Amino acid sequence: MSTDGKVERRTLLRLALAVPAAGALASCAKPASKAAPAAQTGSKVDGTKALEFFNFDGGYGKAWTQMPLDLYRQEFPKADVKLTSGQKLQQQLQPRFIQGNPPDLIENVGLDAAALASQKQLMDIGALLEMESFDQPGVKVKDTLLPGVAEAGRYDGVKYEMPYVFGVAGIWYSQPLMDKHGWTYPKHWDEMLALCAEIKKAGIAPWTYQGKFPGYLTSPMLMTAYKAAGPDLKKKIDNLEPNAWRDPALIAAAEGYQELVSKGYLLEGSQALSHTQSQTYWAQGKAVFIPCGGWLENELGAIAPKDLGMTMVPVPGLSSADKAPFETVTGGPGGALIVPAQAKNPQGGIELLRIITSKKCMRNFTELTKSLSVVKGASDGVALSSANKSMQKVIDEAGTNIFLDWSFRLWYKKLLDNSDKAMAALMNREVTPDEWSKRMQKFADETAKDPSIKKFHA
Amino acid sequence: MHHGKYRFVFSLLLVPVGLYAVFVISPYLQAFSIALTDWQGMTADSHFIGFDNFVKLFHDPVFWTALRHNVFLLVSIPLVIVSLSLFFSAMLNYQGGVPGSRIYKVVYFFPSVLSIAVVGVLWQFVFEPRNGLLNGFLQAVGLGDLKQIWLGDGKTALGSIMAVVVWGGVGFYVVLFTAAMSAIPRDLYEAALLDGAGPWQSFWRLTLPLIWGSVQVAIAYLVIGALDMFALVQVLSVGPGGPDDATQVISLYMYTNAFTYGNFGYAAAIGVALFAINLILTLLTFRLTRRERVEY
Repeated sequence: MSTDGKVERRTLLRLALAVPAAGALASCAKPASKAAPAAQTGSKVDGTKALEFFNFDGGYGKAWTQMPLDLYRQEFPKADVKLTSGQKLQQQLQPRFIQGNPPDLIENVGLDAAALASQKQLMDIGALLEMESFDQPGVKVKDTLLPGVAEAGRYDGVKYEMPYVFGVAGIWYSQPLMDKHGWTYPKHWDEMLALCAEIKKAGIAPWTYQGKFPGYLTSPMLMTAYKAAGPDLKKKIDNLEPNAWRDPALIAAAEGYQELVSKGYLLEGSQALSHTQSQTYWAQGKAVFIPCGGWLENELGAIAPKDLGMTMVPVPGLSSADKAPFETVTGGPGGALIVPAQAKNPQGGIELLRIITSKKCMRNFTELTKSLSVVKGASDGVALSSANKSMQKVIDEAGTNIFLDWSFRLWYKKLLDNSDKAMAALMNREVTPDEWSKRMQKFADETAKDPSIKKFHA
Repeated sequence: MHHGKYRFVFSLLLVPVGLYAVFVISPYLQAFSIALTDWQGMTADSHFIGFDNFVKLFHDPVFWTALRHNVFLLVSIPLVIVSLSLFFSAMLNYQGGVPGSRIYKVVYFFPSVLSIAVVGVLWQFVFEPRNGLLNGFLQAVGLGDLKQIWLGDGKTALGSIMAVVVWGGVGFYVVLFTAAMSAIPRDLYEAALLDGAGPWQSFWRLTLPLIWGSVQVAIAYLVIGALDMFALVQVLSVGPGGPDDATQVISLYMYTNAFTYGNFGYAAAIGVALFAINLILTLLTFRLTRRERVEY
């Protein structure tokens, strides 16, 4: 969702909270399968080999890595265990990939995983799922994970990435502000525009968005179209099918979002505001709605007034004729831990991954980062803010109507970049909704025709 | 004795020249061969694909948009900066300088002390459409109708970034031209005065020809600078390079291809094209600005 992929990560926490009961059940159910023992752990790991973990020192920091690394050191006292950190992974790690000397485990934000996978630079970590959990004897790793986690991070079916956080993305508003004016959040776009007219009369801007990074608004717009057209639309778009972007639902959604500008429902100047600027104005009550992922609360930090009552809701659909439920959201497992194929100690990397995904370490992660993790029950007893509670509700109500993201955004970096450009043009009214859809179709066709771009299929 | 001196000079030069060769010359040369491959930058393997990247580049609309912006900048930036700097330095030197000229000289130079990234971040606050200095100023002086989204609007974005370049560049050239002007012997002006030349005439007939060497260098610098523009566009623009490629420049497009699209071969081809354009324009600048050298 956001350009750095942080979006998907945060919301994971909520789900973890929702499922403790299921987690307990699952662990009870497991001993029956004792006849088929979980894969032996540690056996393939050479404990004398050095191990390097490269941490993305961003939103989650590096404090959380301490516990798993210490546990690894306890398990293999002879190993020289090293933590390296950075924020510009492409620049820092690209030379090491080329030299054939990458770290053994990477917390990846910034490297193009699809490109790495297609160039055979990543280790298939599918075996991890069958191994025994680090701190739940007799239970396989895959059975300790929340739904969808084992399936996530696959390229052409092969498991290359291990997510560690859980999150959703949607529209945010301040509950006290809505209550004060007696406004209710609409489920369809025509109602949204009607509400916007009312909000504008009250002297507040209805919407703002992170205009400097137009992708923030592409996500909700595509979601509105998805709700109108149903899941087939996503499949066609992701598979780069001819005329997928010419779908009437997409054009209708583009019309709807462009009306935010043409009717003056957008906070003045939004198109040029950075994420921090627009989010700050939103938190100050200058605008009622803003699209964002689960990390918004953390990102605002002290900027958010105590009584803001941050609430996340799903993106509105298009009309009552919608084919997918209003409750549909993007989200799920996020973040990516990867083991490079050329790592000197890949088995050690996988072992560290097994330690990281233990309940103990993930609980530690949640406590330190206030973010939900991918392991069932790992955040039991952690206090939730209003933002977190609302996201929990969004996740609960979505049920199975949740998908990670539009896959084209993960697979085809250039198409993603072009979709951002087209979004900016749409919101500056330099193109009509129809021209927008034609441009997107042209970009998608170019991607489909370009033999140098490795294709994936949904 | 002489060969001993050369050995000494050579040994001193060995280290810097060696470093320069390894870290500057060799990457430049490698770019030419990388441009002929489909290298994606994650592994050491790449395939030779001949001139495919250049053919693709020729048909790439974004490249042409970027080139158009660079050409616009390289005509307008030298024109504006050189005219303004000449005007300011002529004022500073006019009859020994206007009152306070020494202070002005220092003040003009301020922006040159700031790193380009700081300049970018600073101007982000100036252009901020809601609480920014610029719109705030327009509002305060009753010109609220002229308020713009600046960087967020394709019609004003490139001009806004150009304004920052001018703001940051003028000071340096004022100092350069002022120094050149103060080197002109006073008696030339006295002679001109006796011949009946006014200030206007003595500027055009005397000052400008005598500092032409400095102006020529300034233009060449500015042309090369206008072909880069990477840092400011990267920090200031929407996207970056936007909105919708409105501020796209060749250097940024090269960077995006390498680090966002993972297409190092293509990026290298863009770099080679940029190198060729640079070379041609520099030669052209010197050719077009060549005049008789005046000895004094």
